[in-house]
Amino acid sequence: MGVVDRLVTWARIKSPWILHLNSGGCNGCDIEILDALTPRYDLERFGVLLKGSPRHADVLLVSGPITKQVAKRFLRIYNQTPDPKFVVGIGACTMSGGVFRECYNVMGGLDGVIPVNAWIPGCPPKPEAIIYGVAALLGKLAGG
Amino acid sequence: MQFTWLENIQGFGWFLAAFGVILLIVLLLYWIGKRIAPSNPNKEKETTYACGEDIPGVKTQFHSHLLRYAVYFTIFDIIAFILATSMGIFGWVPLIYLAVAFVAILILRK
Repeated sequence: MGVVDRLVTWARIKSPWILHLNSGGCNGCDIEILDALTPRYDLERFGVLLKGSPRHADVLLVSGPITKQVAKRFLRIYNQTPDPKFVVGIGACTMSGGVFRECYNVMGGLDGVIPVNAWIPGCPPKPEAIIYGVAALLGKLAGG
Repeated sequence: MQFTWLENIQGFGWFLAAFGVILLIVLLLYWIGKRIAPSNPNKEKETTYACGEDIPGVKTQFHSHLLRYAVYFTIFDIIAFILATSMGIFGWVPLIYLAVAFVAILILRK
């Protein structure tokens, strides 16, 4: 990588702003995500800020099973997010539908709708697991 | 102490130079950002974000009769500012502005 690329990658790794999306789950993962952002676990020490618009976000944190109702909306939000963007699926529901798998309105995993860069398994994953997953994603980005 | 108009402009010279340098820096930062940003346009990026809903952009309603009040306010606000800053000092600029504002108000009244 050239000097400029390294500088840009360093800037992106040090301030990954996130948008939290829930696709209609039980909110267990949402609560754990919010816990990870509070001072006890403090995801913000990595430069992570929770934003309200995909226009400001680098990372989409998705929780909950992908329902038929929300699939096209997620795709629209993903397309509205500026590049470079990364998607992290949090919890078992984003991977396969979790406890809601094969329900009448559930499509399955998140990767059936949008490309996913990292998964954080759990039901719900603990804040430590979320922090580990985010740090692993940042490490992967640092490696190019 | 009275300054000539040339001395006034020279006094502002450093200010204008600093403003120009700052403007150049801002443009440089903007240009750098444009160069390094990835370009991957799609139709959705131009649309309004509405939590994923497909809502077309709606023009804001504007009541044109309120524009008259806004124009009146702007004229009198600037008259007050010019009078306050030129108090006790004779100048042609405030007089010319007052004359133009008087004509503008006469036209607006119609």
